[in-house]
Amino acid sequence: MHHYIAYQLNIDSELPLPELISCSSADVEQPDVMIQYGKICSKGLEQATVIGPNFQLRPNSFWLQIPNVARFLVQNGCQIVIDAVPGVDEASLRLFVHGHCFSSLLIQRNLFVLQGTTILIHGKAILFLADVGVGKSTFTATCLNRGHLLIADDLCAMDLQGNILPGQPHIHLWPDALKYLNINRQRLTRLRPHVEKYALPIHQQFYAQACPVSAIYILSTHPFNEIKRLPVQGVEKIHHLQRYIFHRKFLSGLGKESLYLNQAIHFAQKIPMTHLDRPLHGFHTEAMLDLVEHHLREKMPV
Amino acid sequence: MNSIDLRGLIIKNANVKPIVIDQDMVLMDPNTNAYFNLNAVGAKIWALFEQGPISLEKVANFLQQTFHLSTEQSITDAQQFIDQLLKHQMVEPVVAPSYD
Repeated sequence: MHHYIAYQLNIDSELPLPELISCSSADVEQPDVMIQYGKICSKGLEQATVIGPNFQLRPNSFWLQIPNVARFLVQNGCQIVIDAVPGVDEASLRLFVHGHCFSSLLIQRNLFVLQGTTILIHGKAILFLADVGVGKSTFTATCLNRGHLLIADDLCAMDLQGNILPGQPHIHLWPDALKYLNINRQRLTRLRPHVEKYALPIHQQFYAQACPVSAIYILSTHPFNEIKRLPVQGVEKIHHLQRYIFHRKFLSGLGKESLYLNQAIHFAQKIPMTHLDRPLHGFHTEAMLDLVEHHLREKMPV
Repeated sequence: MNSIDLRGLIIKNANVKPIVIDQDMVLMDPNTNAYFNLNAVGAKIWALFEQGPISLEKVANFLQQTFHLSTEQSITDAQQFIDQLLKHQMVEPVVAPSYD
């Protein structure tokens, strides 16, 4: 059994998860989460409330079937069962454990899970939300290059009070981002054997403490030539918070829609939000970070 | 809006609560997870609903006096706004008790 810590949870896992921070078994009396191999019914869940093409849901249960990889079952926010296809590579299993399984597990634990990245900038946790393809990972790497610290990437989990929980100490980068950042990909591992995306471990610059989110930026592209910054106000904030929910389609089946709307309202009242639009083409992450740093200094002097 | 007349009373949905985010007022129904954004004028009209059941005519009178509109314009505006509130189930017509 392997022992890890992520999202402030003690995790015992039969599947090695080398991307996570490991801890010794002596530190942990009772794990919060167990990840085990086991048999999972091929037909799905009894009394499923939502049935998708390859997943099924009911409050406190999430069932997922990935052909040629495995079936996964996530229950009660404390257990992940893996029914692996014989001979499948562990990297493929890990990809779904880190993504679908962790996101549904954290939702089951009443955490507000967003697709984004959280960076500690000048001592404040700043959450950046973006759609796939906007350049979030390159932006994250640029932040780290400049000495800021990573709190969570991709899957950002907030507790009811609006604290972001420290996630996993690695980021995922495409080859063009690695090239831009002068990182040699030879030593990095691919997310899956046939996927050209790489995991970059972040050890020294990982901030392993929960932190209240001080500001949220929405990163997106626009057809203009300059980077633009615009405040987001009022009900628009709720729209954005709902839009960037990680695996939003799982919410209703897990019975968390009400909780999430209440939380979105609570966070919208509490946390300032800003749009940051960059030109469609080219790398602009340095200039974007300049703008963010400048804006934060203006808004929240240390 | 065919379902309510000028003097028919309209009452706010008892579950709905107003929430302020920055300068915006948002109405929210926790039972249905529906929410509805009010502008500054909408927030003023909502304050009338908070006081109790009110007719379209009274809302129109309020708009006419506050913004110096024509009677016709104020009725149109009140009607449009109340239609939106009805559509999002933030308010509902008061159903008269039946004695037969």
